[in-house]
Amino acid sequence: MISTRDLTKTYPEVEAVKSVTLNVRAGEVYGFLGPNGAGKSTTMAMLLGLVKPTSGQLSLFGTSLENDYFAIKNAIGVVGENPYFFDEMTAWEFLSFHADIFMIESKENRINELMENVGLRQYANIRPSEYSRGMRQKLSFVRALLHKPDLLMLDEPVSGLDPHGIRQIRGLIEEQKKSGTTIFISSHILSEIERTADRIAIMHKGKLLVEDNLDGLRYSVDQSVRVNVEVSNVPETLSGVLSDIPHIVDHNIDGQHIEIRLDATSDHRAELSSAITASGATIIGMETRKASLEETFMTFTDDNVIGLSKGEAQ
Amino acid sequence: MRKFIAAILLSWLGLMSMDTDVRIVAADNHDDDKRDLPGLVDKTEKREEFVYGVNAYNGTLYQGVFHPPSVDTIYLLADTINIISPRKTLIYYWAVTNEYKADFDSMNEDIPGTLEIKLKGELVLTVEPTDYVIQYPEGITRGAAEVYLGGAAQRKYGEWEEALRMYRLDVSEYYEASRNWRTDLTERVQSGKVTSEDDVLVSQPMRPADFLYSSTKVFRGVPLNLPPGEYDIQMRNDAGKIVADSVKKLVVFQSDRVGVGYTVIPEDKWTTPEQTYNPDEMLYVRSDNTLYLDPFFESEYNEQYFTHLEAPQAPNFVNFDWKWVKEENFKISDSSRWRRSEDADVTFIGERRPGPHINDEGIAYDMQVVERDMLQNPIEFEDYMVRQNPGKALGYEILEAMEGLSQGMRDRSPDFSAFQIIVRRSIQDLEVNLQGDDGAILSGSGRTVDVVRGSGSTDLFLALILPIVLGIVMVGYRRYSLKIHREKLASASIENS
Amino acid sequence: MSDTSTMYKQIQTALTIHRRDFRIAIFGPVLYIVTTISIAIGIVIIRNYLNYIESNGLYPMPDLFSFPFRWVIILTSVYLAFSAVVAIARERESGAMELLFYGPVDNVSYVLGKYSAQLTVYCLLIILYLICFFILSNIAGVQIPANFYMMMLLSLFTGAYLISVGVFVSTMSKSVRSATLVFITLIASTLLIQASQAWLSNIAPESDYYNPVLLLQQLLGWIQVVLTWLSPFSYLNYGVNEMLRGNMTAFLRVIGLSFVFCITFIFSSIIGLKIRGVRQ
Repeated sequence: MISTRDLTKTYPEVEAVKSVTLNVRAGEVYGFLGPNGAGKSTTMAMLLGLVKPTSGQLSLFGTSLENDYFAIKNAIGVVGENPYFFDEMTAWEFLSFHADIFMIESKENRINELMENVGLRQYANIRPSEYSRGMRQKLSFVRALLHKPDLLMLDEPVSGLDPHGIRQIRGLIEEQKKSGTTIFISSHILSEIERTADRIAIMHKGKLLVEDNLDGLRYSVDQSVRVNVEVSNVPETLSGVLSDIPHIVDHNIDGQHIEIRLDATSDHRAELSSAITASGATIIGMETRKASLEETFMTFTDDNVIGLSKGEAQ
Repeated sequence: MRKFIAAILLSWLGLMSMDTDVRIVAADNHDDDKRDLPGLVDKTEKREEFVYGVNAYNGTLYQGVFHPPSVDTIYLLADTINIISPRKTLIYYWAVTNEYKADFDSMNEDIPGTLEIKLKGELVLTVEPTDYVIQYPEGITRGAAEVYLGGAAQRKYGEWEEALRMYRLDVSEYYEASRNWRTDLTERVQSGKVTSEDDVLVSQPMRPADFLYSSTKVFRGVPLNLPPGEYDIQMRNDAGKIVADSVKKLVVFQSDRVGVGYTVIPEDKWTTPEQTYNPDEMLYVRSDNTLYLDPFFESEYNEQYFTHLEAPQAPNFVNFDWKWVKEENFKISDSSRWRRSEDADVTFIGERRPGPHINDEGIAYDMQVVERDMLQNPIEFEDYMVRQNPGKALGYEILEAMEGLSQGMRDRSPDFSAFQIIVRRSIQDLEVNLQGDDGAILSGSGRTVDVVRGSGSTDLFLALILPIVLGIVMVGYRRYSLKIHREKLASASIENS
Repeated sequence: MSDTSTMYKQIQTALTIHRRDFRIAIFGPVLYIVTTISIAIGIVIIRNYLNYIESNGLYPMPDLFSFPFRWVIILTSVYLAFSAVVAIARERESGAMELLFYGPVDNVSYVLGKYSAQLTVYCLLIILYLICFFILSNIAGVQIPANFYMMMLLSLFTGAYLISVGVFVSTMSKSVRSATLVFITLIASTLLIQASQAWLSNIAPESDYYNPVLLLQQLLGWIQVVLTWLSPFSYLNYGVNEMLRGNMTAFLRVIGLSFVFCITFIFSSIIGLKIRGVRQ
């Protein structure tokens, strides 16, 4: 769906994007992560043809914007980071205007349907300037979905929303995903990406550090699995037993709580469980925990991250 | 951007202050003692320079101008004789009028040599100076100028001197005859032989007509009669060298259009006539008004060129404007209308006034009038007199000259001659043209007289109602439709809930 | 996509943008305020003429309405050009332009849509002014000459030219502020240079040799020549004067040149937007 090779954008003062090669497959949800100034917005702008690349190749739907500008643009829906609306228009007029841009037939029905879906139908003849942040974001979504795009590009879709709003947006994204729309999401909200994305790319200082599914990302950062075991008693031999198990990378006994890192190449939990029981301890509970996206992200981007992942304002 | 605007503003301020700097520089050149004496004009510095003195024909008469070294282009009319005189003189800068002046009284030396004219770099004409004289046989303001060169100049000047001598003789004879007549009249009155005015007037001597024949002295200059074009001019002295400061551009131009203009005299303000030059002009007039139109020939010239022809040191502007120049009145008829009548025994004392006007080709013109596409009676060119109301009463009355004559205005000539147009309230507009006795309309003589019925009253502002109402309707409609939609939605959502 | 299809899409998109901008213009109050002020100024001028005719009985002039109409047109076209400047610059500054370019909107359709909206408003205003002048003509009892319609025709082209300049300035500017400053500077400098030249020309140089006044006179003279060939105001004045002189060749030439410059600036706006980009 989207493919770039060595995509670069250099400004006089800075090289914003350095040789980015990414690939978004049809029908997937692609998470595009990175700290502030990583080059995400610039990359998105280049993908949308808003900024001309300094060098590199870029294709959408297997062709370039120069070859088929209108066909490509007709297949893309975009929700920008800062939703903008024309002050003098009501929500209905705004959507109607965009429906005309996309030359949508039966635009009234389509607008009604989408507005109903997001619960904005009764506010259609009010100016968006009077809307709340969440309502404006939903209206942006409606605008992006008017023409039933094959590719949906979202830039910080849940930024500034309350949990209820986030949930609604998430529902919209899920719905589009089910209908087979390819979704490209750029966000700081790692938890949302973690929930929805099939594959994730991480940008840092203009470079694309990694592009993989979540498990693959985790594995590239940490090849072990964390297992938390709760025991009723801790025999003295327990630590020695655990040390003898070759698939245990390391362990830490804290009272009745044992934190163990197991080699993730295969599942060694049964062996672990047997070893603990054989040592004389009684297992009360066992929990397997994978590295979170946040941890993975932090590892990739080192110490340049400020206030990320919890949905904090920039 | 801020820097750019600051630069412009600063430049502007700099330009404003530059005038002061120039004046300061000028002041420094003046004598120190004079600077201490307030009210005295600073002694101006004069320097010897080569200049071109030009007798330039401006369509009506010859105008004497000079071109100092600071002027790089001479402008002349095409297809007519102009005289260029290379001179050496003293020039000085005259701050009062921002121009250079020439002190020909102190120095006015002839520069021997030939004048060379080049066109696109190629020498096309070499002319040597010759004697010339410029004369106006019918007077400077009345007839055409005549230029005589070489031997003819001397001869015509001699004729003028002879004519002047004869006129002076006539005048002295007239004074003598007047003295004798008055003496004779006094005797006759005292002896009771004079019983009425008629007895007095019949034998009064005629004063000779004014001597209008005008002439310059015989001077030396280079006559040029060139077709339109842009030339280069230079003076080559007898040694074969180009005289310093003599190289200039020479722009010879012609009129773009010729036409007929009018001096329009409104009845109620006859002392402040208006001029209409442009044949496309309208004459906007108040209704219930009478106008008097006196035609003249005119030509249209490039304004920049013409201005520099008359004032070579005028500022240079980028100017694409055109200028109509009055050139000559319609020629007077050979036969005066005012001749001694056998019955009335009346004549005018003083100068003869013109009869019907004719142009060069001997055609007499009337004014054709068209009102609402219908031809009206033509209007003849008439003479008019202005009679002031006597005593303390203000105002005057314009009468046809014959009428004035019959009312006793015998001791004066007509005040003006014109076509009379009476503008009644019922008239919408009129088209006027000069029509010759051959039936042809004189090109460029047409004018539209538009009668203005309304005045500049505040009623005109009623036109503002349209945009204001339109604005209220459009803005109101927008707000109303929004309000209606909201109300519909509000009621729809109440129903749904 | 074939060229024809692309052109069709561009035209359709341009029409959509045109409709939107046109609605904004005609449903906003500012347009009518400017129109009213313009006509009011024209009325004041006409009134002065009529008062003069009333008191003096006579006033020869080419046309009672041409000078007031010129003022009306100049004010209106400057306002519409300025509207274009602000509209486009504001959209870029706020992100609305970017929003549009998310969809099937390209440089060509955007510029054409924006420009055509202002031009349509201008054409409608010309008709409104014609009606107003008809009313004035009836009140004043003065007929409108045929020249007036020729002048209207000319003003369509010179106004279109000025609006295209506004669009160009706006597409090249970063923000509303810079676009406004550039536009005002352009208009003001045209007048400033003319005034400076007039003022400087009155200073006769005291020396024939090197003199900064001479140099400045020369420089301003050259700039003035360039401006005369570029300025829409000069074209309007020149065209009207030549039309009144009956020089239809010059009149048509002015119309032709205005059209050519208009197309040049529109084309430059399209290229400029491509180079400048959509983002601030």
